Amino acid sequence: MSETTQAREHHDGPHATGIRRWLTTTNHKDIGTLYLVFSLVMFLVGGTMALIIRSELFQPGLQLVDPHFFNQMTTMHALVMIFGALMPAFVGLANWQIPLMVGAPDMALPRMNNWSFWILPPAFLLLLATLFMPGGAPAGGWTLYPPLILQTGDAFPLVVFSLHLLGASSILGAINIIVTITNMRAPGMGFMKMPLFVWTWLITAYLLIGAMPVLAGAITMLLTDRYFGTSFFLAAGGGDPVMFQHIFWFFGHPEVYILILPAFGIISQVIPTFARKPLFGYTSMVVATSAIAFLSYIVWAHHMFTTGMPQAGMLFFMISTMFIAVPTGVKIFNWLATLWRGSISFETPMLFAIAFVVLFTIGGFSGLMLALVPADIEYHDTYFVVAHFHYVLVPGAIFGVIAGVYYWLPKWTGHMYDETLGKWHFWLSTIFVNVLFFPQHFLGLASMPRRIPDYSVQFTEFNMISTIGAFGFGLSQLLFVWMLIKCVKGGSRASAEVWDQPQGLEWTVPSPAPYHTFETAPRV
Amino acid sequence: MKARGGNRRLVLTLGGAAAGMFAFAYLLAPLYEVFCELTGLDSERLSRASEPAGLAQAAEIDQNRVVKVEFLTHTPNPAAWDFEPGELSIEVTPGRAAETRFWARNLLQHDVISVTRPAVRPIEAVSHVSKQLCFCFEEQPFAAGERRELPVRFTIDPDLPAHVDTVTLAYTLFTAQPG
Repeated sequence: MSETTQAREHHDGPHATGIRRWLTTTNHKDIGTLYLVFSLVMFLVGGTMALIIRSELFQPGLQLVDPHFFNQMTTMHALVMIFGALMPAFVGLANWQIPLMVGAPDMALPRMNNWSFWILPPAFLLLLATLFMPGGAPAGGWTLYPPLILQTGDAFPLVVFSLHLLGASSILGAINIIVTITNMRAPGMGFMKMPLFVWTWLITAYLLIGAMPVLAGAITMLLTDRYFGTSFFLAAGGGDPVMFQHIFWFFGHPEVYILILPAFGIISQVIPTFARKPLFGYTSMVVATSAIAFLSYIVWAHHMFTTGMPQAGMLFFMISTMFIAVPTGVKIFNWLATLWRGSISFETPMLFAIAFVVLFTIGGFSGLMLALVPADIEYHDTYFVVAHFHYVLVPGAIFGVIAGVYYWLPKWTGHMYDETLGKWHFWLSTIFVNVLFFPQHFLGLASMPRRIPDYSVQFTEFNMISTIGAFGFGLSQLLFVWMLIKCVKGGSRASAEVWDQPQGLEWTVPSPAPYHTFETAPRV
Repeated sequence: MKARGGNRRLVLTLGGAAAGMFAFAYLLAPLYEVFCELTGLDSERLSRASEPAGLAQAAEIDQNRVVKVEFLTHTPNPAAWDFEPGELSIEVTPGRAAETRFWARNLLQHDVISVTRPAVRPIEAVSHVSKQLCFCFEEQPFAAGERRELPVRFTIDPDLPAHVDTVTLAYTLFTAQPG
């Protein structure tokens, strides 16, 4: 399998050292590491922005920042976390793990892989540079609704171009992942034998190819509306600003599943290992993931119930949205059934996985509440929405990433991480994430609007609790960074298997995984 | 591993799909209009003169039915324009033409051209309002400081769904883009 000229070219002989190694690398493990480190840096940058937001909201009135800067923070926090922290983290995990899990020597397109990563730093240079430009960073929300977003200062074209670059990077990454999974599986590994992380990433990659170009189209229209006299979204010229919302959410809803499906995959790897049982309902997991991906394309207008819509439209989008609860419920049922009568042990990855199942489900339920048109009209643009999507993204997607990092870290570094530190990280994160986001449900139900720097006094107590939770959660992540550094530098040696008889090809190679693996394809 | 040709074909297909989705985003703009037209949500027709529909059964018009029509005005640029309805609401018998007027004043010291976008709510009423005369059909030039009456003549079709008893006509007035 590896005896092609392409593989030899990239895998034999000594590789460059120092900075040139990282700039020119085509090795999937190096690129995976680059993605993961980049994502961690962005996670800390986006987290700092969140702490600025929560500090201002600690009490009513304007204390620390002016409202325009506050709005820049909410917008940039979202863009940095979605496109800088979460998506690169999943692509980094995919880079490290997919070749190891399907028994391939590397990604199918190693040079394109290098390119996909190295587009990211300049893209974020553009995006973060907008903070220092006249008129400031974008402040109209990450959803970029016109006409408000068109009032951004000189930063506007930079935002658009940086999103173009981020989109290009994800599309290239997605193509690479699909080609690798389709063409480079070890002999004997049929599609229905692939580990679930590989399956969920395959489906996610298709979602990326379907959704990211639509965002690119929408922001290009914004750009030409502002600078080249088109009127796609300008009412005065015969356009319709509501049309932007349709196009944006046609991208935006698949995007939220892009952010969660790989986490589903990670959880489906971690739970069977620590329950010491094969995953319950493998086939139904694959079908449920595909069903969620399909449904994600036909529910977009549930973000827009308040724009005015005929009753038939509201009914369609409400019912199709509620349907998503069915395949998601199948997954949660399968995870619980995997745990049932298992010989469970509670190492850090398993703790994060269990917290994921519980807390993601809370986020799922509040999503179901938001799907109901009459309720949504009440909840729209309140803190209830903020609580909902942070529950699915923080103890959902981010806990998924963290579980994956703890699970595979010994394989990457060859050292066991510090279990005590891991447990502390878990308990502090899980307690504080609830202190942070749970009160936001109550604020929303009491109709505190989102994206405001000041609020009425009756909201003070819950906001104070939430801010305390934010600092607790943010500071706990420093334990994570400390644990990572410790584990890279040393620690007790990890065996090839690392855990107690885990399933999967990645555990058949030594720890740390050698620079080149599976040059001769394994048989499955 | 399959031959490199297999990779190339798959990459081209997937790249083509991505390019196709980019084109699809642009296709959504005309599709959006076609969809609105097919479903009768076509606000564009409110910007054109149209004959009232459903008058074939004019004999069956329920003379006792009265629909309240409310008027709403808005301008995103209140420093440049005064824009208000002549009356807040009127009562209209479906099938019979009704008239009202709006007032607009150019607050600036130079000539400008206005363009107005109409809207109708509730959404079920959109396809049952026809306008014979409206200042929103074309751009309206205003001299510096000029205040002018802007007439509207419209008909509510008799086949307006029975549960609709109030219809709102809304107008948003913009300064026309130069050029």
